[in-house]
Formats: sequence, structure tokens, C-alpha cells
Amino acid sequence: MSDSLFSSMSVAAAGMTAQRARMDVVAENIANAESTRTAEGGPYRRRQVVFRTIAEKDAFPAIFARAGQGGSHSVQVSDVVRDPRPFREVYDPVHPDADANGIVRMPNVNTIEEMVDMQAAGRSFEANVTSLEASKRMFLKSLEMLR
Amino acid sequence: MGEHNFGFFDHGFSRLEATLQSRERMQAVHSSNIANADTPNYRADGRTFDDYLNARLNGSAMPLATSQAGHMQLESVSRHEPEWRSGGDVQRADGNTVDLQKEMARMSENQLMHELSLRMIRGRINILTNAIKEGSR
Repeated sequence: MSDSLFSSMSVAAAGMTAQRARMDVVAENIANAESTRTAEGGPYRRRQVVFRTIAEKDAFPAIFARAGQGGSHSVQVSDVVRDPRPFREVYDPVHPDADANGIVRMPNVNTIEEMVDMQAAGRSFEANVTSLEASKRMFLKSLEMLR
Repeated sequence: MGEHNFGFFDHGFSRLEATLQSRERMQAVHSSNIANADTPNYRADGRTFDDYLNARLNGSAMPLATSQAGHMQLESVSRHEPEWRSGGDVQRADGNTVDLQKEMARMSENQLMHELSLRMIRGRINILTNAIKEGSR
């Protein structure tokens, strides 16, 4: 009977994990907003998470095996992709990475954009926390019936 | 428990049980939609409490009249889980149709109704407990 409650809790947890991963990538982008040197050469390229819907049973096959069709849809970070947009070009002749014309290629990170993304990730995380708490409360209320 | 038609655990009681289970299923639906609120091209799960309750209560539906060879019986359909269907038409730029505010509101409503069903079951159980206690005096 409580199968669906457990599955909704694991879905909420998966949502929180995904949003945290998004937050981590945002932090990475902001931290590297001025990095002109990377391991693969050239300035830092903005990174972005891609979410994907998965069937809940794929995420927790052993514990939450479900009978019947139409289970819950969980979420997962399927990929972290690089932003293909061009680099920012800043005129700074004294910069060690400036080219012959004094142009420095800076990462294609827009800090404002990252801030907005961070806020959105935080809100979505909170929404998942709320749904997790709701499931937990429903479960506890059911348990209270046994007293 | 749907088979009990007599005495204390009658139709009403099993209906309450079906209500509870449907409410729990709905919680899973809301959780999925909220978790996928940022997934591109995710179509919101629009299954409702009615769908689940009907599927549970009408598990033993009346047979359909068939007049031609190709007609299907309902039984094979009605025992299944409610079909996944898309809810909400508001398209965002990323093709996602989840309305987070609506999901949260429906989730709260679902919780309150779950609590109500629990209290009704509790009331019924209390009646039984009282009868047992008073009988021993």
C-alpha cells in the first residue's frame, strides 16, 4: 500500500540530487568566470546540466520494484554539456593571455545568468523538499492509525 | 478487502481504503511532476485522483454488450492502472508543461483529503473499539 509513498519519496530525493548537481555546476561557472587557462587549452567554457526523465524503477530497481504500468517519473542529470556560445573578447593589452591586438578571450560565462539559474535551482530544490515532507507526513499519519 | 460486504468492514470501509490508496498514488504523481519541473520536454503527468479511485473501485466492471466479433471486453482495460495522460497546455520555452504552483496547491489539497480519509477510518475503528470496551464492563 505504501509503495507509492516510498516511490514518491525517492522521486523527490532524485529531484533534490539533480538540483544540487545543477547548483554545483553553477558554482563552477561563477568560480571560473575569469579563468583564461584550462587543462584542455583556451578559456573556460560555461557548462550546463541537462535533466532527463527516467522511469522510477530504473533508479531503485531492487528496493522499489513496482507492479503494473505507469509508475512515477524520476529525474536524473543525463549530461553536462559545454555552452557553444563564443567567448567574450576584452581589450586588455597587459594581460599575459592577450593576443597581438591586445584582445583577451574570456570565458563565455554571464554572471547574471548564473545568478538566475542559481535562484531557480534553489527554488526547485525547496519544492522537492516540500514534496518529500508531504510524503513523509502522509506516511506518519498512516502510522498513527496503529496506535 | 473489497470482497467484504457485511458487518463492520463493509463497502464504505473498503471505499475509504481505496480512497487512501488513491491519495497516496496522487502524492507520487505530484512528486514526479515537481521533480521534473526543470526537465526539458517533460509532459506533466495529468492523472487525477478520480482516475485512480475509479480504476480501483471499478475493478470488477459490468461486462460490455458485444454485438460484433471485433468488440472488446472492458475487463482487460479497466483492471489496469490509469493511463498516463498529459496535463496542462501552458508551453514554456523548453517544452515542459509542469505548473509548479498548481502542483504545490494540488499536493496540499491531496494531503488534506488524505488526512480527512484517515480520520474517517479512525472514527470507524473507534466505534468498534468502544463496542469492545463497553461490552466488557
